[in-house]
Amino acid sequence: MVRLSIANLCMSYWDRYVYRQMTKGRRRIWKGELTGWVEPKPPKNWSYTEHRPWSTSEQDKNIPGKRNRKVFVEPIKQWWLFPGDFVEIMAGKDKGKRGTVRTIVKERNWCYVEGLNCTYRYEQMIPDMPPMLIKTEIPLLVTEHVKLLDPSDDEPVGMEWRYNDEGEHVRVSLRTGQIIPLPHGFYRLEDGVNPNTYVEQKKDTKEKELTAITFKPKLMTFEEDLMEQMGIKEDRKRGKTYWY
Amino acid sequence: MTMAGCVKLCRRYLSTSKSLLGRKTRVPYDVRFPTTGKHVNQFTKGGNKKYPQEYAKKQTELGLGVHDLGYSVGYKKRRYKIIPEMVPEFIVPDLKDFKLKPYVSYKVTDVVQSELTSKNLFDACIGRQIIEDFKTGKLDTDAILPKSVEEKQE
Repeated sequence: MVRLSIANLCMSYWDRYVYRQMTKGRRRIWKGELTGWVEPKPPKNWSYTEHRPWSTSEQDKNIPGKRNRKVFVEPIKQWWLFPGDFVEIMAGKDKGKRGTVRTIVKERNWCYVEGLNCTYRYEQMIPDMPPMLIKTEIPLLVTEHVKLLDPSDDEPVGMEWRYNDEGEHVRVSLRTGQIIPLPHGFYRLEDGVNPNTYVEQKKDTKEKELTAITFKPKLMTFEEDLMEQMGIKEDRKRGKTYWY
Repeated sequence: MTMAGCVKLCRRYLSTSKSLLGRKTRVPYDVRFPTTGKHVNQFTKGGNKKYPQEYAKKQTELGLGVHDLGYSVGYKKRRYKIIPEMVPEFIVPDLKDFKLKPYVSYKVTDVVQSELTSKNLFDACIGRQIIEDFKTGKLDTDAILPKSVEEKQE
């Protein structure tokens, strides 16, 4: 339960939602007259997974009172990998195989490639019944284990962000200088919506109504404006007040 | 006459002032701090079973809970009597022909609006009228423009 505080007012709606999800189960505490109410904070080492912080499976790993280990992550200034990218795996069991990136976990530099780099586990071990085999993907480190492909060579290559003649930010392969095209996942916002393919609903305000200016500046206070609109007339004079 | 050894005298001090002088005494409780249940419960001196509930802050004071709508009445059959004047009435404006909806679509570009200053208000309300008067020739410049020192002396 995160109320309006100065820090929260500056956050966007989506960030506030995620913060609220990460502080679920933690209530604000009354710390006495001097401090007052103290809002809950997310735990120190939140363990991030492919199921994002608003999912119950990730929240179960971060119950209040549970202390997770700190994970050391190489900071990436500008992300170059997006969902939908075609990549080649450079390490592990499926070394040399190619696939599309399914999801990305920026907090841990992970990427999940569809159907590759998997483990198998048995479930529902009932006697006299054949067991169920489940295949799950293991995440790969974006910095080391995965590489983009050059469009001309069709070989794994390192990339760089550069500006082209039109002034657009593009991904360029270091070996040949070819521009690697951006996938659909690049245009996706943090909440998973692609604004280009979004279909406007009944309860959405459109740009025309939103940007229409209906404010008329007047030289009177808010209260006087209301009184004029509602037809309230005040003939009484205010009583004298004194300052000492 | 010599003493066998020096004996340190034990001195006890008395305070006759009314103020606490920085000492946190709780007899029965320190007036500087708010009283809570731990000071007035049945196990403390001068406490009672009913006092903690009386000294506790109401939920509405802490910004939680719902205000009372009435009071409970009766001895054999206890019922809650609602007073209609205590039921809150919400005054909501008429939303007929109101075009804004609760949500904003993703396709809208960001709206950036600068602060409304007093200069903007002046320009919008009075400034326009002044410009029109000046163009038509009705503006009385002698009354508005500031006078120089020489003109004032005249």
